[in-house]
Amino acid sequence: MQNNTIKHRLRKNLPKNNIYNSQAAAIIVAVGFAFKLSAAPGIICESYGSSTLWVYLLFTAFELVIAALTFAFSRMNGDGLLVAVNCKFYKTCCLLSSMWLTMKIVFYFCYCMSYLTHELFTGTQPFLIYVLFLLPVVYLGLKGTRSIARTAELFAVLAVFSIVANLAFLDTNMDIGRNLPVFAMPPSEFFEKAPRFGLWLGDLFPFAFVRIRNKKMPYITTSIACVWTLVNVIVMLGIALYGNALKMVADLLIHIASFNQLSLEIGRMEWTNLFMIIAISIISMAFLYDGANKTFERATGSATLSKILCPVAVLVTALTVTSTQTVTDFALGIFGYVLFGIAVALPLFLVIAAAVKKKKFRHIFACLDDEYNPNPQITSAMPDSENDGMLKPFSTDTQRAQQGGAE
Amino acid sequence: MKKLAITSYMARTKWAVILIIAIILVVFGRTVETPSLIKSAIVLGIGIDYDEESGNFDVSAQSVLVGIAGGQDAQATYAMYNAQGKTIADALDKISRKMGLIVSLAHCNVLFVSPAVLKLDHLQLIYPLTGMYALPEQAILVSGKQAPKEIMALRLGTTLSSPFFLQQALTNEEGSDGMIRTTVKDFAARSLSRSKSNAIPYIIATKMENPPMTEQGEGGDTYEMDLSRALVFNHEKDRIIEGEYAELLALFSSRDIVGTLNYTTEDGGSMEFKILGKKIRIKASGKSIFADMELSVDLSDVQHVSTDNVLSSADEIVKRYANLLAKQFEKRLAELFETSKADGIDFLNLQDKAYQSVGRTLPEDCLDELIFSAKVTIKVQETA
Repeated sequence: MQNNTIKHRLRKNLPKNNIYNSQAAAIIVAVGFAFKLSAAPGIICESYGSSTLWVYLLFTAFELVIAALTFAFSRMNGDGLLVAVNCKFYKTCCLLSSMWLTMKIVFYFCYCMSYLTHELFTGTQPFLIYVLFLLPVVYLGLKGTRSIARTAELFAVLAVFSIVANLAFLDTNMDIGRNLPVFAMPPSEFFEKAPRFGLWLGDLFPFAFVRIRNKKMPYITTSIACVWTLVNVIVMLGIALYGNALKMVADLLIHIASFNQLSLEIGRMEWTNLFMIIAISIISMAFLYDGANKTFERATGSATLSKILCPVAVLVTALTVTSTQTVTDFALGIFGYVLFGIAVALPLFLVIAAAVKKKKFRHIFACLDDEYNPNPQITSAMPDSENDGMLKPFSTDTQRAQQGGAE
Repeated sequence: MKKLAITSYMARTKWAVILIIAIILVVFGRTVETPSLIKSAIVLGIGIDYDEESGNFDVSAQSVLVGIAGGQDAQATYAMYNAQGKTIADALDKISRKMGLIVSLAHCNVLFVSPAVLKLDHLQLIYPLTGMYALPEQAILVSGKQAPKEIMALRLGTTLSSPFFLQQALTNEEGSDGMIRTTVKDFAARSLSRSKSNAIPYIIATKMENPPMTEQGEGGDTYEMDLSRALVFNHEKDRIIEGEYAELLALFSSRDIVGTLNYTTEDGGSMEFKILGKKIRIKASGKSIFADMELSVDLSDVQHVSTDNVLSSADEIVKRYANLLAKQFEKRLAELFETSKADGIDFLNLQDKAYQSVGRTLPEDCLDELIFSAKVTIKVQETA
């Protein structure tokens, strides 16, 4: 693969697993809106009523911490260092991450199918919908992070435009005061039940295994701030619009579009957000699938098994359960606490492990340069960036790993 | 190692995206059963009644048929169907079989319910319609003296279809002077709030004294609808609010309001004001609720007021009438509050406001413990 510096000293054709921060921002937009604004507000409202917004704000704080840890790990090239030093703890964490991300895909898939079949494809064979949705997810996931990022770049702009336009033309009766009181239940119960919704935490975790190249603008910080602000604003509006009746809303983002004042003139407007949410859901699930493959590869040396197991797990789960809703219910029951614990603990462990190893192996860390090549060859052609950011472990299987990398 | 030119790589990714879109469009088109317009009955209005003795729902649907005629000579054909069932879906299924078409509520903007239906679980009433049958959440709820199937079958002076009339009047706000607009979404939100109460228009249809004439002579029986009343209700009780009190309730409860306000003094002097805008702030401090209503109006008409000048918005007498109207509104709002307490129907949604202030410790059904006061300000402005 060639390195081509085209303009502004930016490479147009980045090495594998490298994306620009602007592309990462596009993925953040997709992941941020797809899962947090569809059925989640209705599900949380069922338990929390007027406190729904405050649960979201609490989760935003957690998500910020997790995102900070994830991007810190990525920025410090923790992945490269821990692979290079052949860290056993890292391999264990990666295996756990792979399992966690696979479970998240299964839960999210059933969650998306649950509201999409309810809202849209009533009377259609579920099998067809499952296969139909799984195909682009698997395809994008197999193509890798750069393809997901480029696809996200296309749809993120549309998504933001559609959401902002629907909010700008929002015209209906609402009462912001419905977001009060903060504690519709005793505070102890509020905090005790909140971790049950841990499914929606840690969606940005796969960024830990992606090398991010910076453009001048702080795209990631800006997109995180904007997306989560918008998410909380929409949840606030959702409660203001529906009050406790938000629990009957299967997809808030689609329902908000129905109150577009243009709908009186040109008909129902739900399709605007419907089209967009299908696209960003596929991108988001593909991103998680890609993350599961990467972590599995780091844990076992090959991603093949994960690439097969993940879609199979999704299909088997979706086809064997009587209703996809039961899967979502399971994820939001006691198991939700497990998901919450993993989402918070994993990035923390990874950062600690990377920091410890960085201190211990300063010399190796210093070698972790983008242009590092374990087998330099003098050539008149442009430098090859195939092994950018990859150090080979100091072990007996170095040669085998090199062969694997070359493949 | 295989080398790819940039253009080739970019093209490959671009084709991947196009392929995904093509798969979605092609396969969805072939697998999803999308009923065509000709096979669908576009329902304009749906009426739901409930017989407590038999436990049956009596559902009626008026649909406009598509594809019967085209071009300039096209005439709308309204078909009215009725069926009974143990559930609303059961009755709609029977209507679908009677019609030979698939019932679609996607364009139904009027939901006509009898007071008996409003005694049932409100969420279970609405949820199947918005979920399974795609009833828009912006659809307006109405009730009436006559049964839904009777009112929906009435022929009106201005249109053959009474649901179409209601849609024009309530959804499009044409000629809807001072009427409450409660959408399906608002109905669900208020029913599940602490107040558990709603207010919707209450229709009384009367036979027109002078029915419209056609070249062929006088048509059949023609009716006119009076929407000046409001039905206030919770799960257990209901009450009809009449005339100017209903208009004030609409002003207090509805977000947008159009129309005029009248003030008549004891000596017969009368002024009509056109509503330009309104702002209502309801503040709760514990169980004390204060409503601050600001109305901006324009002078519309003056009768029996002795003056030699052409009155304008700037005249003192106009401002005096506006102030008197504001005082009258304050008094009537207090009376409405007393009525709501006496009936145990919190149609001003005050418990909801108290709950926002007091929190979860607010006892259920504490309407009697609330204190309510209102301040109304009416500013007379001139329209451009």
